[in-house]
Amino acid sequence: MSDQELIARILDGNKNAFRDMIKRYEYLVAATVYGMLGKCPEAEDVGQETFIRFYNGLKNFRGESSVSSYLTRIAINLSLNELKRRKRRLQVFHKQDEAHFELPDQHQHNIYDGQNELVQSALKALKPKFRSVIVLRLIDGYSIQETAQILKIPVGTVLSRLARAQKKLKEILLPVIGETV
Amino acid sequence: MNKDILNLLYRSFDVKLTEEEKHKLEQALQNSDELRREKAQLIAMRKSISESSPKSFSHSFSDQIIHRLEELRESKNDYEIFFDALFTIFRPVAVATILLMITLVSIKFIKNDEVSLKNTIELSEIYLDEVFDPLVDIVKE
Repeated sequence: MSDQELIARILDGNKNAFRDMIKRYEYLVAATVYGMLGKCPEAEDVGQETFIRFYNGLKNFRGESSVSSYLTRIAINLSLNELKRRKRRLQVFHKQDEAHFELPDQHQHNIYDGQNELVQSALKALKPKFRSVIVLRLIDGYSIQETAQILKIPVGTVLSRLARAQKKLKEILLPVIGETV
Repeated sequence: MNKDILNLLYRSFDVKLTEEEKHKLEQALQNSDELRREKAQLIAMRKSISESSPKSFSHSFSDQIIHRLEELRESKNDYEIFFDALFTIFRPVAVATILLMITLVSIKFIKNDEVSLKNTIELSEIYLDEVFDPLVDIVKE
């Protein structure tokens, strides 16, 4: 069933159609939100909120963009809001800066897959505007043009942020896990 | 390492290079071990990043969303429905009031050939002095 057919059913009040829509795009929203926020309890809340916003905005969805990029835009915006909230909380409690890179401790390292955990920690060291480009291009697999449209920035800016972000990530990851990355 | 060549290498992963750029990059790759190593590292890093993010939430993810939507719908029943209704009737009431005012002003203008508050709603005009000191009128009288 196409996305448009599914949307028509959702608008008719069919709950199962919405459930199907969630299942169809859960992977994309999860990859985006986890990429932006890392593995944390708030990530699932942001994922849920993304689909709720999508549902509430369906009446106004005219299909000018694809469902996937519409959902991704919501997920990115909500993640950026969450990062701002987190930063404010950190400032209030005088804790370490968000952009500070820190290796996961040994305990965490055992819980999650080691290499993925390291990459996620390195991603956290990037400023949100660089992280969002990496997430959309390298994790979600959007083209440069699509990334520019979702973030509403010029293609040239996407390319320069992508290059800078990769250089920074390489700096962080190479000494830690050697030549394999 | 040449900065332009390095930028070209980074761009080559994301955009289509021109024939000239491709040729320049290929030549540089052939001549530089360092650049070849840089390319291999970039490929490996991009692969690691693309595989790093989990692709699903908990098992009950969709159920939780449906549940939250139902809760939102229920909570909307009391408070928000009242404001929705208020918002809905506000516009027609506002438009009707404006039309009524225009009609009144027009009728009075046709009758008296003058537009004023006194003429329109049969009220005498109030001056600032009277508002601050209502006794002014009495003293005058």
